[in-house]
Amino acid sequence: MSLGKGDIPAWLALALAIGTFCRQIYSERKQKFEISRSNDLAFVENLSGKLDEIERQAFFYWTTPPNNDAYYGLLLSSAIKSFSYLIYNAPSKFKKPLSPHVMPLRMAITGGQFRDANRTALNSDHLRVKSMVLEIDRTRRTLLDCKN
Amino acid sequence: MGVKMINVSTQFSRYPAGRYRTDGEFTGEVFREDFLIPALNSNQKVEVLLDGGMGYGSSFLEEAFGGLVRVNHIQPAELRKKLFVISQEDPSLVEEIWRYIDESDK
Repeated sequence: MSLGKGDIPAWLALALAIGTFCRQIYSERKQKFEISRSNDLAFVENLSGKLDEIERQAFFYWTTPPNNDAYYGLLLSSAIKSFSYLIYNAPSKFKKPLSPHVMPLRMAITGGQFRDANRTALNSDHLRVKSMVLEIDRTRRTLLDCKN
Repeated sequence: MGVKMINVSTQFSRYPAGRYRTDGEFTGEVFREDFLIPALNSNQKVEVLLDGGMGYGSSFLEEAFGGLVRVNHIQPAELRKKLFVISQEDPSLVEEIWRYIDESDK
């Protein structure tokens, strides 16, 4: 069997088809990667938003005189629970770096006189407030690492 | 002497909070004195299921579980044989509880 000039269009068509096929596969993979990256970013953004909310609630709770303590305490416990639930149910690439932050965060925010009937408002330089700032900052840094 | 299962959210409260009895109805001290201690005294094994609650404060956890060692003078080694804490929703709760138990002994 030998190739004649008449076969050239068939070979060209084949090369074109292979090229199109490869481009399609590349494009699909790129699209999947972009969707996955976009989902990851949305997940981290969601967690960051929840951490901001926890930070606001925690500062309000500890630095203002107890008023409706049960309500604001419950909001805080519930927000931390929801944050930890998201982390423990996340893909391992997020769960692994973020899960070590859950316990120190909860201990810093809801330890000591949390929901204590006799607690008083703390100054912003109180050790509990400082340890809260530290744990929130550590968690936030890990979230930023997850984003990059 | 059998196995006692305590489901915190259904048998105690979905909203456990606070440290001392004076802090409220469902505090760590109340849980320890009215649930944990009687269960530990009359059973070979006590399982505590934490899932289903609306979040646990560390002050509640420390008083309820750390208090077993600090207040009731039960040795951590004995607790490791008898007490089993379960949380599928948040495994860090179990870690935190055992930390309080071990640290209360120091």
